[in-house]
Amino acid sequence: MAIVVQLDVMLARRKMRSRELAERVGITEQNISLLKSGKVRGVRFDTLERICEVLQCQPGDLLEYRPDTGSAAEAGDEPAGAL
Amino acid sequence: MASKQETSNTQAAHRLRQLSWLVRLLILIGSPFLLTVPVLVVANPEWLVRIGMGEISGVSLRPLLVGEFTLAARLRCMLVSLVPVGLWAAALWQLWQLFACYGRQQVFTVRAVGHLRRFSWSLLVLAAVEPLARALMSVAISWDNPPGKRMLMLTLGSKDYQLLLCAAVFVTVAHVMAQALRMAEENEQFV
Repeated sequence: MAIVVQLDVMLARRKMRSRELAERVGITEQNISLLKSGKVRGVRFDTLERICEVLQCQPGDLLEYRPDTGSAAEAGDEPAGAL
Repeated sequence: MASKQETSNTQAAHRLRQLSWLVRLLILIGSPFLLTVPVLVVANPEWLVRIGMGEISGVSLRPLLVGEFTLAARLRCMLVSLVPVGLWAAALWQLWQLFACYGRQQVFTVRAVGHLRRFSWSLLVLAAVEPLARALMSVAISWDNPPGKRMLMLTLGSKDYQLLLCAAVFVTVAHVMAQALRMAEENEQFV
């Protein structure tokens, strides 16, 4: 998946444990763990809003786009003289 | 203080538990009557001829019987009756298990959808089996008649149509619930 979740970085910066975040956001600690490891299909906006409110950060601080090697190669592979 | 959403969810769960309890109570009340059908066929042949078959087909079966309704004939009829009774028992068992899942708030689960699917297919098979069972019953009743007086009676009534329609609806609902299960599983992967 090209979307990388930086939640563990933000938790370390705010010196907060996953359990506390889970309690304050209102989701289970298991879901926080899945989110940290990027093993979820998506995040609801209201969950994202509550996480940003608790961690005092922006969505961009939590999510980063890192294209896969294959798609990056396709994106950068332009034939000579294309412009 | 609980939010509106939480109150609504609690009320829905409570309603589902009540419905589950009610349906299982109905199954408990009806099952003993179902299981007595084969016994009644043997013990009270008048019931079979006058009510059991006559009511369902809408045609009197008295002309089928020439002479005494022997024990052998009653046993044959009992064996034939075991087929639809067995299928109804299997269908009711699946319905019981289904509403047990609903009572535990397990609506969109593989287990619940499986029970619904098996219940619906039991009904569909019953819709086909019941007319055949009645036909076999007419042969079983008239088997001891003198040659030339044995009969095979084929009947189709409005109740067969109603059962077939209900079964088709339940099969469709089971298919829709399987789709809903896939969506619920996908939804669970969102936090």
